[in-house]
Amino acid sequence: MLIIGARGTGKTTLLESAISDLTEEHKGEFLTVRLNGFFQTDDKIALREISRQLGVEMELDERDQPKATNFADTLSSILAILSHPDELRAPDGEGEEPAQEDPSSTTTTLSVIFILEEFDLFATHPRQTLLYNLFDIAQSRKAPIAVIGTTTRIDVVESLEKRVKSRFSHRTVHLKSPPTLRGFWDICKEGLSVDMDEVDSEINGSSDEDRRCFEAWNSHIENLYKNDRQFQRHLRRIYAQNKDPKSFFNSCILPLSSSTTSFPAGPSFSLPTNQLGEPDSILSILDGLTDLELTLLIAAARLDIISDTDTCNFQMAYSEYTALTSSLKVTSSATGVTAGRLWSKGVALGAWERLAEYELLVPAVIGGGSGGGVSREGRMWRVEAGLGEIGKCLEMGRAGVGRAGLGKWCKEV
Amino acid sequence: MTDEMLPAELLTTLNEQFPCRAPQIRRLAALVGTDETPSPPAIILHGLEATGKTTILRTFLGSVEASYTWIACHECVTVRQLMERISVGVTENVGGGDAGRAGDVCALGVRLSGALSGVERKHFLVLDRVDRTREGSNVLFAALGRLGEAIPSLTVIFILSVPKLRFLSSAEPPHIHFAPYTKEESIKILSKYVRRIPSQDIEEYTEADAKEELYVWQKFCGTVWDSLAKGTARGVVQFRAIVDEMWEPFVKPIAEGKYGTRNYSSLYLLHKDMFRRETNVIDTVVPAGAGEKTVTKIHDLPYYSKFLLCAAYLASYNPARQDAMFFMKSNDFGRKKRRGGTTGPTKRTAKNRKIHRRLLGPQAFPLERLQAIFAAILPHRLSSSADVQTQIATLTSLRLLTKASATDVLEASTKWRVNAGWDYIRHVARTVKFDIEDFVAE
Repeated sequence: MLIIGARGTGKTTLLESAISDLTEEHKGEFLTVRLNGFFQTDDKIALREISRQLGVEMELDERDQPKATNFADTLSSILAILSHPDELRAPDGEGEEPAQEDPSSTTTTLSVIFILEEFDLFATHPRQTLLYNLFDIAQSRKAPIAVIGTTTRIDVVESLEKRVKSRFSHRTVHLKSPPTLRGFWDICKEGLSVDMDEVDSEINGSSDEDRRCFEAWNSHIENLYKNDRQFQRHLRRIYAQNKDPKSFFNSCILPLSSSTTSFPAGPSFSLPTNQLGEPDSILSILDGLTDLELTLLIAAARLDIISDTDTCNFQMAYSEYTALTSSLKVTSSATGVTAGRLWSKGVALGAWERLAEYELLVPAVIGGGSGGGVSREGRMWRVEAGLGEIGKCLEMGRAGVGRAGLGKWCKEV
Repeated sequence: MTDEMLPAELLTTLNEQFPCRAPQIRRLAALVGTDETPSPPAIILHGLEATGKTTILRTFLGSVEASYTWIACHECVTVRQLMERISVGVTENVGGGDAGRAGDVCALGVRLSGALSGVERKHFLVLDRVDRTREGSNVLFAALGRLGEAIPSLTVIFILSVPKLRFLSSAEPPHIHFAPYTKEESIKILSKYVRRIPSQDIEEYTEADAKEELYVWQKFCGTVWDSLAKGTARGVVQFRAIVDEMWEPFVKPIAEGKYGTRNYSSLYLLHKDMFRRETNVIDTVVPAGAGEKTVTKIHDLPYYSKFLLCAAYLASYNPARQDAMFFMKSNDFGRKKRRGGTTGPTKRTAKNRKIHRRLLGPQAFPLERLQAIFAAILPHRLSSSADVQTQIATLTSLRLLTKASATDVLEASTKWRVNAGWDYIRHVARTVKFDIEDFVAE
């Protein structure tokens, strides 16, 4: 079974709550093995982790665990555990010898739930051995196991191999982001407000004052949504940008942490712009660049358009830079303004390489960063930012004061 | 959030210590907080170099007495080393027993959750310069980011210089941006480190003197910023290095008593040249005076090698279809050119501006072309005792010629490329009295 949904739509939360419900109902009747595609980067590690988690869950001793010597051994021992539930008597990790010491113990079959987070990464493992075996066991009913994968990729089924795909049950659940602003707000409100039932159950005999205080808080939150213009705009922006409650909560951290002191008196928190948010793009670093770096970047971006190739090297950018700066000198000497200064090649090369370090320039050839015998000036690079983007950034004044003169170069080619 | 807030005095001292970083410190305080307040599983600090990310975080964590582990990621060569450092560091700081080995992220997660399971306090794992990790991949960073989610009492703090989008490939963690300092802020910071004017009467150092020094220092910093640092060195550290280097020669007239402290503008005019030069901007090992007149060094190559090198340069920088025009002796040079002119009377206005070939860098050429051009540019017949192939091999081992394709040296399809600049080649050509300018296509 697969759960597909964008980041922050609550795939894991859904799964965890389902599992914890199950645990309450059927305690001790199943084991859970949690794997994550980010952590278990290949099948070998994943298998070791499975055997470890199974071992922990079944309360085995460390030394009883199968020695993780090679892939085949581990796989076969785990398969043995999984495929012969009859032989899996109480703590016997090897599962190979049907317990000879205690024949009177009752045969218990334990179900195992495998949770594979970032399922798409498991599909990239060579030959998809792990997936094949898990699906095979699940399908052939050798052992009572369930495999649940969560992923963000909607086409993940296509990346499965044929033999794996045919064993997959093709049951998928899609989780979607809230379709309306109202729905999004409901989620956010849930996180912000205090759950009265929970308060009652957790704090026995909570004083009336506390209750009143919490109620005041809740109504305050609701008021914010209904009446506060700024708050509405903020909420709508996040909704339009990514529909991710997490980024809303992030933006709430600062106001909340500063409003705690006034909490009992009915808090007042106005949401400013998101101070803890992720920057929009790599161009946000433009304001930290020196004038020389910025001019070189503009020169290189101009070359993209002028010469109709997407690569350029330092020599080309420097000659473009020289042309730009000297033309500026001519025009500005007429008006009497001190113009940008023309830096020598050595300085400019240093600035150029710093641009490459910031990844505003990427090497055009794979592994071209190390050169391949070509001198530093001749190496080909690709500019990561378009001229239009840079120009817009300069116009908005994000790139610092006094840079407006450079904006002209971004418009006229 | 509980009522337990950071003491206000602590924030004040931090703000005094690090001027112009109040918003960042306030955000850190909100996110890191004290042991009672919750922290997000992952935090990202980003900002260009020399904006105080590392220093402020370290001082902050130290002063709130948080339990933290500091890992300098750029010092770790392999992922395995990084993992083991984290594992050992955390277990040591938490006070666990054996460190054990953790070779991959999976094992690291197990180890850390084991080490931190019995700990009530929050623990911070700081990954400094995580984008400089040598073998880092997105999957690795994502896994490191998830460590905080998997282990409740752990918060992972990443320090980056350039923010990457979807760096942890998860719903976004809180970011703290360390904005670059503006001119005013930089000068304010540098004002904390006012250098003395080296004058003779050190004994009678008064308040007034200090005030004067501060005045000159700030003026001077402003000038350096406008003339040099704005263009090339935005970082406070680089800025300070330049200021430090230029300070003593600048205030020498004041120290000698020739100028007062208040007529700054005349002092500036006196030193105007100093701000024009670039010697303070570039780091050099050789002292500035030694390299004033750089002479292009010429290897003392054999006679034919020099011609070979010229031929290689021509082969690299001339388009192959113009070879006939330049090098065929039987053809009338002028006629060829004229015919070339008449066949293309339609004046195609080039949509794209033509790039000068010299800027494009050397192009690859097959060995046969080199030999043909070599034969054409030789002023007389090749002496039969000269071994041209060996000389080519020598040029290659000198790295003046480089192999441009991955095939074997002996294969006919192997391409070559010249690895010397125009100035060098011109010098070489002059020593054999060869007018290379006539043959270079413009």
